[in-house]
Amino acid sequence: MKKFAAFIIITMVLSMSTAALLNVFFAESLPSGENFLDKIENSLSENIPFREKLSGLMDAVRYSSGVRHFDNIYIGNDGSLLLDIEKPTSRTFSAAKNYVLAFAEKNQVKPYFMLIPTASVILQQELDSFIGKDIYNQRNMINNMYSEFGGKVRTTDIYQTLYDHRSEYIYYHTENLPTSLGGYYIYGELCSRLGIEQTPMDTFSVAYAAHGFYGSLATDFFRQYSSSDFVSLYEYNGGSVILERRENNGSIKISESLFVYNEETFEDKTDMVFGGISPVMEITSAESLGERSSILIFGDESAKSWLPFLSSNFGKITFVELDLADEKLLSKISAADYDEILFAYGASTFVEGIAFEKLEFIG
Amino acid sequence: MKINSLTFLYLFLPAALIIFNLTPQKFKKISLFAVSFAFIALSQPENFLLILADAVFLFMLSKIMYKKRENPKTKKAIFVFALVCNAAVIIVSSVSNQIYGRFAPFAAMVVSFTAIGYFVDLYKNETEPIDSFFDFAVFLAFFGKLFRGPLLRAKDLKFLPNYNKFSLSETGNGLYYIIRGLAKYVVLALPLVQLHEKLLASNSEEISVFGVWLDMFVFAMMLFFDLSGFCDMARGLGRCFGLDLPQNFYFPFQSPSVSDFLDRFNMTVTGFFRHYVYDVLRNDKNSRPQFIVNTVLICMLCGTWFGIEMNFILWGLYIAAFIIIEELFLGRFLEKLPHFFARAYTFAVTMFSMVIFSNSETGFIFDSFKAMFGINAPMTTDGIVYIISQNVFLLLAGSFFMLSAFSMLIHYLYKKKPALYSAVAVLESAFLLVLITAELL
Repeated sequence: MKKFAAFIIITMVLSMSTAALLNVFFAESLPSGENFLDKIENSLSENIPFREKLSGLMDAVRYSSGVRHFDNIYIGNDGSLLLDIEKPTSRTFSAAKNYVLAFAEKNQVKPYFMLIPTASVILQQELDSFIGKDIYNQRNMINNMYSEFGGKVRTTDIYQTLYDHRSEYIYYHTENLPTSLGGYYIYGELCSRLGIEQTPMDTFSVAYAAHGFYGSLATDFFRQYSSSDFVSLYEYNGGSVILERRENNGSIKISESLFVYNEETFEDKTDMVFGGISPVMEITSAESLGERSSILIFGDESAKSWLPFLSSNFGKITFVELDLADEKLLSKISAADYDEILFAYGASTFVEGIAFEKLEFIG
Repeated sequence: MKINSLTFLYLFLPAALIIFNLTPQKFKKISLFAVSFAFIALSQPENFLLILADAVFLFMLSKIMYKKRENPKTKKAIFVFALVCNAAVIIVSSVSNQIYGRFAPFAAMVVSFTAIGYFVDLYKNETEPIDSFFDFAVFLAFFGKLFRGPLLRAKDLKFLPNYNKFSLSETGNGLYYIIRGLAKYVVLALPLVQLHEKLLASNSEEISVFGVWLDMFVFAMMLFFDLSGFCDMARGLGRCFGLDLPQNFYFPFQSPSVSDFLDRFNMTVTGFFRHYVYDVLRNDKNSRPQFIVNTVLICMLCGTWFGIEMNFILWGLYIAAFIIIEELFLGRFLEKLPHFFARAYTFAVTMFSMVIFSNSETGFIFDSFKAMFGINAPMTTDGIVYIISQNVFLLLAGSFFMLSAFSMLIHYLYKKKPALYSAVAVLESAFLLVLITAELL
């Protein structure tokens, strides 16, 4: 090898090494790791020059060769990022079953239970036909969970409804959540299960906001291959509502709308609904359309899509995010104060495990 | 610290190079010993003392054996003792490899095989004893060769001319080899492991003719890039630190016969067993039955290099069977065939051998063989088509670099157009360094 070429190769390795070392040296602290060498490796990885560009490089090469599956995210033909979920453990199933049934028995109620499938199974038409087999079968998982309750819980199957509307904008492209339109279809199915009348769509005035936003699934690499999103806010015209957001530290924020129209306030644009999910939220409406007055809901972020519609049917809705709420906040809630009780979770949140054990704190 | 880590590439290697090259000339070998054992301490802390003690013990034993060379009984007793000790280490290492699920030899096995060769050569007066402990320790445990070889004999321990002076060309060349080897392992072998697992899962769900053939092809590529990648790195590290290590793979999957395949696959290991077993057992008559027995023995030993497991031994037997058939009659027929057909035959035979190599379950081997012959299996499945669609680049790149075309081009440039070769080497190194870094993040 010519000496000049050898010199360039040596210089390349040494300069990369020096640049990486300088970055590590000036980094504020070493990242976590099992031992010192792990910490050094992690630090090098985090501080290597051009890290962002390099990390996207191999994925870009794979994408150009036809790869559409990266870790657990599939890139759909319409630019949707479809997050596949892991198979839940039997412990997840048994915890859900035991705590929910114990709660039902303690409070002498027959609650409703709803699992919302993610876009990865509903929007399979956006993936090549071979991929379907690779994606975890959420329909079976949901049916299995429902059958675990053995008729002691009223379950709500929304899979078919969402599937029937799969060609519409029912899931965000870049966020693992249903859109407000998807939420309306979920709400419709919930109404028929609850035995209440669905409020017509034209009773809501629609505002579109945050055009062109990219959600949490769209990292730098995915952004170039995904379609952007917008948020639609369905404000009920039939009466006023009051939203009370309770935090664990005792603070309460009260607003006269379910929506915050200033999109700049939020990094996650879907937080324009409710201003984001709080541990406990109470929605009261003076002019309820519904025949039942109150409902206690245990749920997750997916409620941002369908919960606003339900405010047109109930005078009082209390929404509880079990993972966020602490014992003190939960102990102030009494199940006996409500006509109905609903558990509603997105399938992806459910498989990660819900803190159902906190149900014991509910009065 | 793994050899395929940013810490090794951007921290340990530059530091080791700087330390080695700044060391005064007369301490170079001590410096190389220190670098090698520092690497073992960082990468295999649990084996560090064992390997160091092993090196000291074997060095002393070799010294005593050489001193007692005039006393055949004592010499023989020491020789047998050394063989038994090293064989015990090989067996223990192999069993621990099985427990931890590895299939390739590491450190203790490489050290022990190397030591056995050395003691045999010394016993037969085929080599001079290595006088310096540091030379001996480097011969046994030079850090570059500890992963997959090459397997050194004492006569193969060659220091480059002027190894104790910094050479821009040798260091640059060494880094070029290291980058190529690391790229083979990180960019090709590791993704191929994942692809193999996907194909295995897909085939276990619904087996198909193409699915099994593809899986075995992917497994063969994975094996080749894993082993040859590490050996390239070993050669590169050798060049950087003044050692000239032998080549260990020469495009085995394009061999025109199975005999040739064995000569090109893990060359130093085959050569090792050929020298220490085959040549010892061969007598002047060189009869056919003896050829058969020796071939079976050699091939089985080549299999056990990957671990003392039934599938590796069976793999050796399978390869031996074809070598014997070729020797008896098929070889003469293959020679008359156009090269393409001879290579296609060898390729098919080696793909079948991968079924045995990759799995020890008889049910799996039987089902895979049936499917490869198209018995009770569809041609392909949706799952296989999908997996291919997601791995087109990897399959194309793997197939291309498993063949010798690119290497021949580089070799041609090296011989005929050195300036162009240097330019290609620089560009290739830069490109691969970016890919490796991206993969290691």
